[in-house]
Amino acid sequence: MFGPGSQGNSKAGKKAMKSSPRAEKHEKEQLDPYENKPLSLTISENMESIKKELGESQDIIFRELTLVDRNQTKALIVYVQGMVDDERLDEFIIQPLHRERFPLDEPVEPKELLAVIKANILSTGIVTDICDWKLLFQKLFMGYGILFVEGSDQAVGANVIGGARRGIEEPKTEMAIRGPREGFTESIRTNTSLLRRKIRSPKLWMEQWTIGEISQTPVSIMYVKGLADENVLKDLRERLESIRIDGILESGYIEELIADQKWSPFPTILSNERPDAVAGNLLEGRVAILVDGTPFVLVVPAILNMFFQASEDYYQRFDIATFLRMLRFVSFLIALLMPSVYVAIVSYHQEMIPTQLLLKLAAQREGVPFPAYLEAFIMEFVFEILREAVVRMPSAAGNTISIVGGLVIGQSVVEAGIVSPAVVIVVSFTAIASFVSPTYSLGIAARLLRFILLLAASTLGFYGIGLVVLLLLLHLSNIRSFGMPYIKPFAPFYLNDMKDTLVRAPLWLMRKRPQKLGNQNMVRQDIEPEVRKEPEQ
Amino acid sequence: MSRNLERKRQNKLRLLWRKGFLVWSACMLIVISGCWDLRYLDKLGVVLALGVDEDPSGKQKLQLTVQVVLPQNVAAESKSGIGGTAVTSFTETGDTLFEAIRKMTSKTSRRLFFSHTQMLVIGESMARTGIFPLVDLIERNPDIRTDISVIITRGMKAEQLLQLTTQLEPIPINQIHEIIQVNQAAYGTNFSVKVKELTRMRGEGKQQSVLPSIRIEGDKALGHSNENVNSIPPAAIPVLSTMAVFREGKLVDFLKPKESRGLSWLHHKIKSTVVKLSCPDSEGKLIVEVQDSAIKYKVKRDEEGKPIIKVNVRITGSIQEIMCPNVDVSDEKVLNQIGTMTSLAVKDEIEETINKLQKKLRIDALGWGKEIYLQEPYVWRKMGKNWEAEFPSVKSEIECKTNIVGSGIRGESIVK
Repeated sequence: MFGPGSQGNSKAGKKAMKSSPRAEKHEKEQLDPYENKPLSLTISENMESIKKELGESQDIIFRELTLVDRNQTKALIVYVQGMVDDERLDEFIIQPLHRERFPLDEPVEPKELLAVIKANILSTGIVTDICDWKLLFQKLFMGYGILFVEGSDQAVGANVIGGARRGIEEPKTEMAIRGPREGFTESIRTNTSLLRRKIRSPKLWMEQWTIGEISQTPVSIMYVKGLADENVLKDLRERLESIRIDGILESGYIEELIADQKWSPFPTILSNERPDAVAGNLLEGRVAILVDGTPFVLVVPAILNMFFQASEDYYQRFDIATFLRMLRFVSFLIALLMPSVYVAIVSYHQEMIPTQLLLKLAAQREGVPFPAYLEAFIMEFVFEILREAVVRMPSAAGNTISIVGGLVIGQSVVEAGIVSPAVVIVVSFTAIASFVSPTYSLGIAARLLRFILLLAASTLGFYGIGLVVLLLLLHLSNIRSFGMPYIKPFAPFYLNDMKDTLVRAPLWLMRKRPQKLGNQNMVRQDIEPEVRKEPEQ
Repeated sequence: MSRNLERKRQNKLRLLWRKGFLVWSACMLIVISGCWDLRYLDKLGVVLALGVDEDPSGKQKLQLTVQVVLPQNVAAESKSGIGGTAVTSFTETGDTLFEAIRKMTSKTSRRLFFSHTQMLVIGESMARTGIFPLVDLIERNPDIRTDISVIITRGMKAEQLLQLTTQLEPIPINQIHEIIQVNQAAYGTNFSVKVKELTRMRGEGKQQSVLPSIRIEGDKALGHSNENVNSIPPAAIPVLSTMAVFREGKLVDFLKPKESRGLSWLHHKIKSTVVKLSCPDSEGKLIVEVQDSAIKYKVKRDEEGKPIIKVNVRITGSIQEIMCPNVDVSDEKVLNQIGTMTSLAVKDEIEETINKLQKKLRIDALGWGKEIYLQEPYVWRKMGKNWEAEFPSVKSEIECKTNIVGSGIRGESIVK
């Protein structure tokens, strides 16, 4: 029907696709034949070709029935089991087709019949006409029920999307003591609705793409029209459209494919699990990218400062929020620098520490077989192993890990005199500090850089640390996220934006939105209503 | 479009160049600097004090003793009482300090590390031959701090002091260091003098140095071992003596305790001290605790153009102990009277010190030359060349005022 061996080819194409862009192109050609390929007039032929195309997959359900019209026309409902809500399918498609008497006494053309069914009988919210195979497969795998009528080369898709999905739960990665408990889910529709519930404005606009040649993943962007920078939007659309990949399984794919900085440990796109945090960013003029199948929503453009902000900052009093902000910055520096500073001090700059502390450290180092930097490397490495083990292991093994990790590594290693207690203290403190970061992605950056700094400290002491920090600063000031300088309010310096950086100014002082984020509408709080001006284009 | 492409290409090139430069410079920095400075903490012998004596054999100029800390024993102190001594000492002779330090490597398994040195101890006999040659190394060498304090041993060798064990502080030199601090803060017979202050005194003004001194009370021979600190009271303890006065870096004399405190007043080192007074109307003593003092020098010229040093002392204090009846501290007149008495007592102390230094020793350890140089440079220009001869004849006026602000938390004395 679609040319011989198309099935086998598509499998081969999938394998080849990962290896080269040419194969990717090839695959695209293979998928394209569905486009504009007309449906057949007879049900049986359609059924046969679906079966053939899908390799007789057992989860595709074909339900044949006879309509209650004058002609006793045959009809066929096709759906994917598990992706539709069975009750709704019964109630809104099958039952009406069985019971409803058709208003037409005259026998009609099948095409017209389909129109009548669509208008009068199907009682679901969304009903789509399907004319070609591409749309058919798209809708079928979205969870639509597809209705064929004998004699018509068209079909009707009815939205009965359902099946088991995770409900709205509290976000696991970003806990808050005060603030909404709901987090994004894997369903893009739920996620967009969560955002709509936060911003009930007609200016909240959405655009949608289907990305992934095979996975056909819906990807949406949402933004507040008039606040979001048109240039950013244009740029974002271009980048999304240029993605050629077989599948998008998580927003991390999109993040990596559209990020400005391919070779930077620092994230230039914020991923977030909290609708309130994303809504706050939308109100500041940023753009959210939602990907079906993941609770992590991306926000662009993202600057370094955003990774230190927690949505809770804005729900608490500003003084405590400011304190917490500073705490986070300090913790980040500790997570980044503490092991390297320790190593630098004990191997190069012994004169810098108070005598009493020096003596304590020296006493601990007595008889330790490794030099300080090796010790620090070993312990940092062990900690990373522990951390990774804890993340990946089944939770039942948790106790074992904490006993082995805490007792064996924490205590025995020190008691055996293999590692000095000071290093254990430094590493544990660093570990705790690294968990303070409200965004996981920045914490990971600190994790990697820590090792580089450790290397610099162990070869060059403070000089090396200074060198790496200088390089880091150079690098940071060089990064841009969708045209926005990464360390923005600091360099270039914007006094107004400083209100939401190291400090969190009281809300009544933050009268303006961050600059350079779609400058169309700077005023956040004013006598005038929220969104009012159309952007100049 | 092509312009865009061109720009992109240029950007790429620039970026590549920039990255290359970065990598190159990073590599160069590592190569150039190397890791010459790497010192393992457990391979260092941390020297806490330097002691200098004359070479007993007389072959060489000096004998250096270093007090090196034994970290494992310092830490062991907290765990269990049994452990070795917290420090050890090494002695070596040499013509110069640095020579002796390097010669000492034949005795030490670890490289000596001087950045945490806290004190320079100079033996009395060495001090008499001159202290300035010993200071040069400390000033010149970047490893040794210049804010280490200097002390003179009285009636013994520096070596002996550095070999003494102490009870209150596990590290003996800490005890000595703290003794000076505590004494200066609460009584004031001695005050600490740092190496950099010694150097500063050498500047314009021809001020002569003064240094605190220390002696050992008890049996010096028993002081070396841990047994010393395992008995109550210890067989030997370090005791702060009085300030030592130098002429051109050579030890001349030790002051008497009262003069020594007078010197502290004049050097504005008194933070708090006690002044003992006889009760106004009866037998017995009472104590005024000085809480705050300020001293100001003013240089005036008399008719002949000779300088007069005006010393203005202001004291704030309170009565802390009354061992006699009939002192009514609720009466302001009595307080004023006690204030006047305090002033007189302090003035007496100060005059005694001035008298000793000016008339007897003829040493300007008071910094008057410096005051004249600062306030009356023209006078200094005339007198400065011959300051040693001029100093004894410089007149001074001392004015002392005391403000008694309280009498403790009790009114009338229990003594009747």
